[in-house]
Amino acid sequence: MEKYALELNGVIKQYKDFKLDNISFTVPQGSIVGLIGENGAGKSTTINIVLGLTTKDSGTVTIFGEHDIDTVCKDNIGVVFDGNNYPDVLTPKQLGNVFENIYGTWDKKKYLEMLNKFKLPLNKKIKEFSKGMKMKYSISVAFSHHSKLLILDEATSGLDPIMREEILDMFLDFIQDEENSILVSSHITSDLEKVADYIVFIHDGKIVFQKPKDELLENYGIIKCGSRLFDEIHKEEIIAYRKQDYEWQVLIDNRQSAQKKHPNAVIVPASIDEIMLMYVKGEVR
Amino acid sequence: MKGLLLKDFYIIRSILAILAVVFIVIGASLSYLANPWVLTVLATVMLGMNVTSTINVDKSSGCLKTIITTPVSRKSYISSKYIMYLLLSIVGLVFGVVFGAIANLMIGGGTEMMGLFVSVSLTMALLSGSVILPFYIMLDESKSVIGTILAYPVSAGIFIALILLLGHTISTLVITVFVALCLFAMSWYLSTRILAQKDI
Repeated sequence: MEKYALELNGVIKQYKDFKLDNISFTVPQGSIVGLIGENGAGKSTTINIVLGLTTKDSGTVTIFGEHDIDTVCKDNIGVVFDGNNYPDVLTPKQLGNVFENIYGTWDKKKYLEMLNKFKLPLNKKIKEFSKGMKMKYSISVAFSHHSKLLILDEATSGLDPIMREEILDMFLDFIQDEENSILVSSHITSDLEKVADYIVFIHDGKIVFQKPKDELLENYGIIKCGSRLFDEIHKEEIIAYRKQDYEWQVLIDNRQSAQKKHPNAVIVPASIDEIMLMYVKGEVR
Repeated sequence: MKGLLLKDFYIIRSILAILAVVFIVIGASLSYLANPWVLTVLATVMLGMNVTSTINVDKSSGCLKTIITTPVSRKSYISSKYIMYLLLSIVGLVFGVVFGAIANLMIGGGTEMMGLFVSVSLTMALLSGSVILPFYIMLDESKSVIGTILAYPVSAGIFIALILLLGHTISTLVITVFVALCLFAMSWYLSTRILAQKDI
């Protein structure tokens, strides 16, 4: 039986002008789950509910088998938010002393190794760090207390491609231990294509799907066609479609089968970005 | 808890130089114009209220969100602010008494007013803390300043009301400190209860 590091079941949160509606998904142990969606789709609200920063109206959040975030051993959870996460008048050295007294599992040696790896100065105030350095620092902290679940909200934004690649490699190393798991929300879907095992797509406060990434990349496709072919496509085959200047674009979830049915059609593999775009911008069947 | 207190200590230490200059300028003027023992009130209140800076830094830097995701409960976070406030006020009081005594020696005053000013210092620090801290903890940076505006007139009002009601005696001074301590404890309890339900 598959073990889950994190499980959301029917989570609802109602705001005046937005509703997080019946959110259910899982983060299996030993996997990386990418949470994608446009700005305002509900990614950060979902993460805040998971972390107990925002109260939910109903539903359950289970972390390591515990339903209440306050009873979960938070040493096991590493969190990185977008932007700054620490008082900017402090230095990494001072913050190291602070965390040593907060986390029971704080690993000072690992912390210093991480700072060294990212070339972060020990005695420079956080406010003098660039955005990328702040993000690297947050990641260093998350990796320095032997977390088993990393929750990252736009953690790779603000980093150059080389550093992103390095951090993605660290994520892959991290989940080599099958007890470890990562939930990462990102706008940079190309990063998720590299490392995620599952993709959870949230749109307008609702989960559109949770699917293995490989299934999405291997099976999903976009038919680029004219009006005549578009009319021939069975509506059951269509997930979403949109009319462009000179063609129709049709998102399908089985491009091999579609190619057999329409041998002359141009069917291209759909990237995660394109899948997201079709759902958001196109007409959904 | 120790980690949170250490964090706040580092934050306050970073603004200590400015604080010392303000204290010396205002303290010297007040010692000359009024009674040197007024330094105890000034030092106690000035040091204690710096906890509000740490609350604002936590909010503006995003640190509050991060802290709540660490093995620190919301209750511990609130308690760390109240404990830090008490610690700073006590340190301020000690400094105030020492500076007050030095100023008295220089000016040639007596110690008969010391008891009154120590009592006023404790009462003002505890009463203002019980008003300021919930405002800074519950409201955002722009609105929390209302707490500072309200705290001192309210504290002075309560102190004067108790003096008028009970008479100007030593036992009244003890009672004012006790009342202030009760209100501070009540504020502490209510803040932990309210923040437990609040979205961050």
